[in-house]
Amino acid sequence: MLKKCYIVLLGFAFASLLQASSHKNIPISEEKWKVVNFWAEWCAPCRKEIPELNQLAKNYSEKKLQVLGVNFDNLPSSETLDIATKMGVKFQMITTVQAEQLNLSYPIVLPTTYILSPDNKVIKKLIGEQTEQSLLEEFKRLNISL
Amino acid sequence: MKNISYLVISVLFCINASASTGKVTELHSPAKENSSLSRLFTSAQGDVYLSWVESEEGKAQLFYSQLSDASWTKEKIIGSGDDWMLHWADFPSVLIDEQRVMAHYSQKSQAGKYSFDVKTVFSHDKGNNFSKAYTLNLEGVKGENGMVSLLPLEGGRSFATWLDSRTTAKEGGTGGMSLRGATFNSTGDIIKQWELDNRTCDCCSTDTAMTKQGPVVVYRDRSDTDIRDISIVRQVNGEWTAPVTIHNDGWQIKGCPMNGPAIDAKDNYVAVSWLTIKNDVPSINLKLSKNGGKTFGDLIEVVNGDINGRVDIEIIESGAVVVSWFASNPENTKLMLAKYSFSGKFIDKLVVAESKSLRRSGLPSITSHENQIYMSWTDIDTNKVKVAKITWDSAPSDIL
Repeated sequence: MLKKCYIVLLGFAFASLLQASSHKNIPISEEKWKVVNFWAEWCAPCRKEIPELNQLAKNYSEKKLQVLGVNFDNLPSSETLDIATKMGVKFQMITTVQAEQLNLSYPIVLPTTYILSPDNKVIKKLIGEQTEQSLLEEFKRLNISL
Repeated sequence: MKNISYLVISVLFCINASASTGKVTELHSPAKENSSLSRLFTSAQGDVYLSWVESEEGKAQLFYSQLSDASWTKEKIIGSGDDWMLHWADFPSVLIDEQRVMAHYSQKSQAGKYSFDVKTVFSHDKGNNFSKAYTLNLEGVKGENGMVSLLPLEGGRSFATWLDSRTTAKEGGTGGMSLRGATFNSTGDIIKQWELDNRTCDCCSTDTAMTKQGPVVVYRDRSDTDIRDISIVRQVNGEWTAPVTIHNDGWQIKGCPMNGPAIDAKDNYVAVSWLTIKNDVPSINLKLSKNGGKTFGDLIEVVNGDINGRVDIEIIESGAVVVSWFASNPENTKLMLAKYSFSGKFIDKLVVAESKSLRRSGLPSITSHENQIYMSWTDIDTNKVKVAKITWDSAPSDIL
């Protein structure tokens, strides 16, 4: 009986997590490297980064990389997803709570982008506007092959 | 959630176990639920005011109230809209000078786009009736205009400074914002306006204060190589000086620092505080001037390390300088105050409030009356603006 309850609770928690957090309903990978980008609608360089991060996500999602976005303003999930859609964000959104669970310190400046290992260790913190090229070069510098 | 609120309240009354001589007392707040974006200010007559925004179902309302003894007068509404742009670092302000009330808010100017106009409204009967809304930025140019700071001038005039997108828009949205200033007559018409700097940081608030010589403006500058240090421009004999960097921090960032400077002035005594980051370590700096901001003394590092910045500053009646900021680490966020003599000597430091959710509470505001500090912020757990009074047992030692 207790086991059944646990299974139901776990299932509910997992479904809630996806509903609340994901732009594309994909769970956070435990096998891939991650690029986690803190962004806000009002941040001009964040808006400029979006097509680059979309491209990175598109080109490497089948490989060993997952691109995740965190809305800095910590808006309700539905509002974040509306803004993300309006801004053309095509990579997955996670909540600030999930970002905290990944041990990411809340940034002072935007955009801030973290590179995380598959086991969610922070490998690099990048401040300022990134491009697909600059991020790929960063992985190269870190001797990480995707 | 309740536990966190209790924690904040208990912190308000019990935290001063350290050597601080400051006492924090929470005041009743006139703001209701769903309130945020508060500002405190003291009029030339010495009256303390609070302005704030209440939002419900997409509609925002801007209110203000006056502190009378330990309570607040019935709030007055300045305006409302369902198309306002509200952001934790860029939000409405109110200025009151006897019967005159001037306020600003940002209104979305293009559906579906991130562009907005700065609107100003005026009242001559202490907020009972307001004028039509005037547009502060160049009308017809769609872009991000905002980060407004207001200042009362003599003769019923007012001064406003703001970040303007007219050049950004011309450059196809890739250029920098410009800093502009304007004076208004008592009916709200622009008398004169200036471009004060043609390239500034896009996403940091401005601040302004009145010296004996005239208004001064501080803002985060932006060089061609994206050095974003703090600059000052001063009006002397009716003319604006060229921008001068207050301190060569050399903070280079191709992004949004989200941290504007704060300034206060009394006669020719000027105090400026700001956040900068060097080698990934943030610090809050303070510089003091005794000649109206023409030159400044040595750099004073108020704090470094686990901080978010979002500073405010006040010179209190005794001449002491009080700086506020957020201190934050993964476990907790604290709303802090530090007090310095005008010669730059540290006097006191204390925690005003503390909770994990404070990190998301926007931009705290401080003002002073005599030697007391008033502070407002948004309590995320109750979704309400809070106000506290901070007093010190001992009389400050440093007189202007």
